[in-house]
Amino acid sequence: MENKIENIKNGLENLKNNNYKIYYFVPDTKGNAIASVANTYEHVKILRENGIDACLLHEKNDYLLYGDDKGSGIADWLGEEYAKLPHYSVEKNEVNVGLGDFVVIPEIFSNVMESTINFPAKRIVFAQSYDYILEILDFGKSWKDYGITDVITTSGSLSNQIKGLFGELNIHTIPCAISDKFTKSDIPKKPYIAIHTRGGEKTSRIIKSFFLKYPQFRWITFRDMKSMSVQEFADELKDCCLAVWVDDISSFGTFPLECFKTGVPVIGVVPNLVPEWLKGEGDTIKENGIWTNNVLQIPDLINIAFKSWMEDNIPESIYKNMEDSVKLYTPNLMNTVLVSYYKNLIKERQAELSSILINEEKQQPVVS
Amino acid sequence: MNNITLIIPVHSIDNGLDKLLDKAVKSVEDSIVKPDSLIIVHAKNAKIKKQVSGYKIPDVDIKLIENSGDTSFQVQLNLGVENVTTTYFSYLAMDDEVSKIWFKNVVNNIKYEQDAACFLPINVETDMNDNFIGFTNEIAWATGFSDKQGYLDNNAVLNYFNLTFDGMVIKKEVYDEIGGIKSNIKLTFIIEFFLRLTYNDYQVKVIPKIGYKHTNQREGSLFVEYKKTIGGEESQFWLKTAKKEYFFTEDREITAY
Repeated sequence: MENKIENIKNGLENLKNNNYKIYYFVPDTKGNAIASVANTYEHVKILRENGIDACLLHEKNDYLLYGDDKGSGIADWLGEEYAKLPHYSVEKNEVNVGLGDFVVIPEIFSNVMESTINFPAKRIVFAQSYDYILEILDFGKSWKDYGITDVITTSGSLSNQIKGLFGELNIHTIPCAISDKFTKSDIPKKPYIAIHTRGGEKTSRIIKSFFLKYPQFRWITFRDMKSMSVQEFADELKDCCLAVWVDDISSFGTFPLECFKTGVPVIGVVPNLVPEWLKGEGDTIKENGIWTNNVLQIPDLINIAFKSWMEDNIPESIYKNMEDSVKLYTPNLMNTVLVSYYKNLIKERQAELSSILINEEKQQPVVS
Repeated sequence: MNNITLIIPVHSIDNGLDKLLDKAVKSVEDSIVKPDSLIIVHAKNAKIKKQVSGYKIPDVDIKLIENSGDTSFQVQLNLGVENVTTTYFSYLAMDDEVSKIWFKNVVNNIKYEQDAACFLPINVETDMNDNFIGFTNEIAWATGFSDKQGYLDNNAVLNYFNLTFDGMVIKKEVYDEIGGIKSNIKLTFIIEFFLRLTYNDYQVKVIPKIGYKHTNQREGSLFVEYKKTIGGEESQFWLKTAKKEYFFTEDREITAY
C-alpha cells in the first residue's frame, strides 16, 4: 500500500516538475512515406519545440533513422530533423513508464492496447484511419475493454465514427498541418499528372484506361508519387498541372491538401468518410476539386480537366476553394491545439492522481 | 509592353479567305495578352489593301507592308521580319486563329525560360467542319522524344517531321543569325528551319498549352494547293534537301527537282 502511495506521489511530483514523457508508439514504415506516421512525428516535434518531453516508441529495435545498405530510414523520407527526435524501442527494454507518463497508441494496435492494460501510464489512442480501427480488434471487444478512455483524432468526421462505434470517450480532434514545404510556384507547370492511390493498386489501371480511351494524350506523363522524401515530393508536385487521388478509406486526405497548397487541382474519388475540408453546405461536396463517387469515371475526368488546363480554363473558383480549404490546416493551428490539449491532459491527470491518492491514504490503517 | 510583334502574311483574299482573315485578326483582338504590334505583309492588290486598312486593335500598333514582289509564304514572312523592332516576333497564317491564352503563356514562359530562343504552341488541327483531328508539336512532351522533355533537339527533329511553326514566337536576333526561313526550299522549309535552329544549339520549347488552331487540308490553302502538285518522289527530294541544307545559314540555290 505504502509503495502504491509512493508511486502516486512520484507521478504527481513528476507531472508538477515537468519530469514526464509522452511516448508515441509508432510502426516502422521501412523508409516508406506514410501520412499518418508523418503526422505522428509532427506531434512529437511540435511538443518538443514547446518544452514537452515527447518521443517515438518502436516495438522492435531494427528501425533505421538513417538509410544504409539494409534500407531507408526516417531521415530519407521525412527529413533529418525528424530522425534526430528521441527514439526508443520496447525490444531493447529502454522504456520504464510511470504514473506521470503517457503512451499514445495508434488505432490499429488494439493488441498493444490489450497488452498494456496494466501500464501505470495514461494511455491514449491516436486514431487517424477509420478502416484500421477494426483491423485486429477482437470480435465483441471495444477500446473501453482495454481501459482506453481518451482518444485523439485528426477530423470531426472520424470522431463521430468512433463515437458511433465505442460510445462516449474523451475524443479530441487535433487537425493535421500541411507542411510549409508545399508552396506555390509561378514557374510554368508541365503536362505531368501526380497520381496517388491507396496501396498503388489502382494507379496503373487508371493510367492504362486513360491512354486507351484518350490516345491523343499519350504524351502526358503520370507521376506515381511514391518512394520519395517529403521534400522531393513537394518539389515534384510543383511541376504537375493536375493530381489524381483515389483513397476510399482515407480519413483525412493529406495528399489532396498538399496539392491544394501547391496550387495543383485534384481529380478524385470522394472517400467513404468525407473529411471536413471536402464537405460543402448541407450534404454537398465542396467544389475545391473535380470529385466523383465512381473510380471508373476518373479517366474521363482527367480528359476534361487536362483539356481545361491546356486552355487555362479551370474555373478560378476551384483555385479559390482549394486555397480556402487548406487554410484550415496550418502548422500554427496544429501547434496551438496540440499543445493546449496536452496541457489540459496533464492537469486532468494531476487531478486524477490526486483523487486516487486521497482515496488510497484514507484506506491506510491508522497506527495508534 | 511584352516585346512581341505578330506577322500575318496575306497573299490573297479570294475564295472566302477574306472572312478567314477577319477571324484571324479577331483572334488577335480577343487575346488576353496582345502583341505590341501587328505587321500585315500583303500582296499588292486594291481589294486586299482596302480590307487590311480597316483593321484596328486597341493597344496594338498595326503596320501594313505592301509587297509587289514574290508573295510566297517564305518571302512575305521574311519581309515582315525585316520590319520587326521588338525582341520577339510571332507568325499567324491568315486562315488560322491564335488562341486567346497564347501570348499570355508566352510572356509567362519568357520570364522563366530566358535561355529558350523559340516557343511553340500545341496546335489543334481541325477539319473544315471544326471537328478535332489531332494535336501537333505535343510530341515534344512524350517521354524519350528528345533529350530534354518539352524541348526539340536536332536528333528528335531528324526523326520526326510532323512539327509546325504556326504560332511560333522566336527571338528576332536568333532568326536573323541563323538566316531565317529559306525561300529556295519548298515543302520541307519548316523542318529545315527547325533542324537549323536546333543544330545551332538554340532551345526550342513547346509550351503545353493550346496556342493555335489550324484548319487542316483547307481547299485553297497555299500549302495544300502546292502539295497537290507534287508526288512522293519529289517529297523525298525535299526531305533530303532539308537534311543537307540545314548546315548552311545561307539560302543556297537548289537545283530544282
